[in-house]
Amino acid sequence: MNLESRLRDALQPVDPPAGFASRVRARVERDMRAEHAVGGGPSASGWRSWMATAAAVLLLAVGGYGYRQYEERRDALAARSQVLLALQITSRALETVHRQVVQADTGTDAPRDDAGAEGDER
Amino acid sequence: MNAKVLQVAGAALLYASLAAPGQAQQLNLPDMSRLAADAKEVVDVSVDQAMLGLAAGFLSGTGDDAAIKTLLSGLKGIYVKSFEFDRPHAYDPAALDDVRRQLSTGGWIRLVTTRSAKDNSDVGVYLFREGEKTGGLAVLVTSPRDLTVVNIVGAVDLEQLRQLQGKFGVPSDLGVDK
Repeated sequence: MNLESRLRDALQPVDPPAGFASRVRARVERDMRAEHAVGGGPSASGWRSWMATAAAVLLLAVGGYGYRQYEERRDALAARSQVLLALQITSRALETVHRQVVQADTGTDAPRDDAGAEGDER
Repeated sequence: MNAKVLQVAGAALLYASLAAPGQAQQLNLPDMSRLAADAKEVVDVSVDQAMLGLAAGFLSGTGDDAAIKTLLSGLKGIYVKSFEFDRPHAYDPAALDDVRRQLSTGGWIRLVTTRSAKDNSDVGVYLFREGEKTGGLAVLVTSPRDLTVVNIVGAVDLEQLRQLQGKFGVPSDLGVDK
């Protein structure tokens, strides 16, 4: 048998066995019913893409929240250091007042005005 | 149309009358950029109520932080301008005239002012009174090489100030009483 006739025999159309089409349809319907029974959602590949999208959204949300937290923390720490600096300078100014009052009390220096007086100092 | 104008003007006047008490204890500190240019060190702190709230959120509720937090709770703002010069008499003594003018009017009461011949420095402490309550504090310090203006807006409780004493180098015997 030459090659040509062997090929012809091999590629000869064959009729499907009886009931093949109905068995295929039944199988497809069964698979679809099984998918719906699991959750009625998309296929496994669909689920994977949904999960990937959800993860990306979650990452963005968490990242955005984290950055806002970082900014708030940075601003708060800056405000805190500004307040502490202001209080330090205030206390230094009050220390100067105290020193001068003590100097006045001990007679080493004299206060310019009495406490509690109103009006311009000049 | 005229009614609308009157309404707007009335609202503006009402707003101004409501806003005025809050502004009186906040000094209008002059632009001191020229001083800053000549100064060796400059501190310019401007902390409003929102920033005070932020800062308070980062103070713990224990120890010194607790005392500072309590002090801050009644405040509406802290404004400090401080200049240090590397040579004496580097600034115009009239730089604070406008501030002194503001302190001589309204609800400001001079608590103490002193002049030290030794240091050649002047110090003034002023309180803003709102009835029986203190609505603000101002401290002016001038010496040949330094100039400092402190304006604390809000309920400065002298008892709380007393608690602050010693925590930032504030002496424990400041001599301020309620």
